[in-house]
Amino acid sequence: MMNMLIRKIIQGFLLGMLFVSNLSASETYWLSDIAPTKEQAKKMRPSHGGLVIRGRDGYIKKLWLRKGNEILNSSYVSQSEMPLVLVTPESQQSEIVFGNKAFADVSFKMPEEGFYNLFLIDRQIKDGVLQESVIKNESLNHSCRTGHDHTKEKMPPLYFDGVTFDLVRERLPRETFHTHMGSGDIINYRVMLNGKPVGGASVTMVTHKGWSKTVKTNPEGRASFEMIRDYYPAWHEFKKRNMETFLVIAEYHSVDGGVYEGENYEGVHYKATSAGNYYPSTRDYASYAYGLLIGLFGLTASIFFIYFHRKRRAGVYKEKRLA
Amino acid sequence: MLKTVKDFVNHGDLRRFRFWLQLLLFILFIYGGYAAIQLGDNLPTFSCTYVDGKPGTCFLVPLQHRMVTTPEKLFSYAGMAILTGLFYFTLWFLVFNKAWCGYACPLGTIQDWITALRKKLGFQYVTYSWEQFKKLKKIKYALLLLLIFIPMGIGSGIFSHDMGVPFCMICPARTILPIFSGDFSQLTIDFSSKTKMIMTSLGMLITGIFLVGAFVKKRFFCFFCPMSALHYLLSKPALLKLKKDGSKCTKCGDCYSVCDMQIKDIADDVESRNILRDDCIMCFKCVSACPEEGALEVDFMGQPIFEATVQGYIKRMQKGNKSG
Repeated sequence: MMNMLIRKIIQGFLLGMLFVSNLSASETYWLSDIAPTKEQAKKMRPSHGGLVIRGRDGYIKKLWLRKGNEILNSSYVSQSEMPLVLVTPESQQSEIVFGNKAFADVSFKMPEEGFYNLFLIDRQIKDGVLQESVIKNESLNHSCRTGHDHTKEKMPPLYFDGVTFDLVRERLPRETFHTHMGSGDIINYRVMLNGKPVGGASVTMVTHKGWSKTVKTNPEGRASFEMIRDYYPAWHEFKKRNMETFLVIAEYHSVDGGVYEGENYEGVHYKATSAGNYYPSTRDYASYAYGLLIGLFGLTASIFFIYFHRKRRAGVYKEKRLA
Repeated sequence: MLKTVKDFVNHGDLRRFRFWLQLLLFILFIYGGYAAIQLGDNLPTFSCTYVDGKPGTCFLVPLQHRMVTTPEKLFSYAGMAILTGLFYFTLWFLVFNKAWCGYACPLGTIQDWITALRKKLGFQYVTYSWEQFKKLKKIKYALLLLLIFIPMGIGSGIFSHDMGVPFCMICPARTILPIFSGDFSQLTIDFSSKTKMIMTSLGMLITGIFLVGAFVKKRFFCFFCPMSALHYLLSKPALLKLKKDGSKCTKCGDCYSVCDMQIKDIADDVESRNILRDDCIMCFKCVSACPEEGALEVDFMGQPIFEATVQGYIKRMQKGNKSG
């Protein structure tokens, strides 16, 4: 029911949009919360949902439009007039635009707890093929100050039928608002076409340092990746909160032809991107062996302490003689 | 009719009632979340946030979290969040008073199970001397102050953020309770920073001491529990009360000898009507062991719900003799 409502709202929005594309159909675009300059990076603070700006009324998410299919080598787009659709955790939608001061950046307040979804959709015909790009960002807003009673119901991923081609991240087992994705985790994405899972779509995972892997979705539209470890600092420089970015790119080609803005096309090439953050695995810095050793030490030391304490108290009575 | 119910309660087997209620509440506080039970974030007992199936969270967690702020914010909106949490905590607490410790706390229940194991194995338990008792009982207040001021120090930049929730880091509930839902991840030492390493090592060391301590001393950890200290600060207006009629007391000392917390006043004080002391866990073993009619009683909103009776005492003693 909720999905139907969202679908109608977004469809209405998208139909009303005037697509003035300044994106190149052959390039990969994505939204990133990593600031392009040191000055801007200083304003960003870590939160449960990645980097944010801490405002007086709560967290503000700031994202930059980037071009390229490698994290470290992707450039920041300087300007974009394209509108974006923001869907709040309570399914309220609104149109927002890029700031375009020095870079194409977009900011939005996050007054509600849960996942905010931002979409930038571009359509253009190139060589007789409709190129449809969906640039998506899913950002979590959570503050422990607001409690945790409501968090479970807001965990499931939202499927937006209204977005023709969607890339949806499924949750990790036992994922909560406090969970950080880490190296070694298996992460699943579902690719949806017109609200239905699509099999055979190609999905590529690109990690921070540039490792990439491409898989095809199964009939349920699911693609799985194990996050690899690509953080190998010297031990004294190791940071467990070291945040790295990964990029997921889904592509699917459909042979269905049609007409777009009066122009015929023979097929549609769908492309969706979504970026996320991951951290070192707890296995990199947590030790059961030392934990149990120290626990065992505490246990043994306590036993000895009690044993000798009791022995001392139950000492043999010795008569004292006055001189 | 009312007399029949009263007699049934007063002559009943408190030990069995407590065992089953503790077991039921242990299941609730470890697995309740799996049954979609949600009791909120301000519970006055160790419903540990590290347990996957928790139905709610121990109040000390949000308290420590919310104290990680600057003094300016503490006296504005952050202070409001703390007061709101304290309000809900007080609402929960006012109904059952310190019986949260004696009946609901999962860590307390584990200590009672360890005590039962010790009894079965025939080991003798230890007691504190009066001097030790007086000194040690202050520790819980010190811990309560630390769990408030260390997070404030984190918020002000004095301590590292890796101190996180400092009391939780050393609380045995964090390391032991998640095991019951198959999660052993808290039994690790975190080497990611010096602070984390020290705090998690301290946590594991205390876990080892806790296991031995609970084996030889009844309710070993409750003596140092800052939640118990916080309870006592709010216990005056609570609805559930433990009362004593000094004129009926013969100072036989039965109540003191069964008290897991070694509270001397329960036998010695014949002046106070309200006999609840800061270490009391409201298990009501004292009431069930009292042979004097009406000398000790448990009141709820001014109405006695369980009181010492001669007949109840004799019945329980006979049962105790039969069971050895």
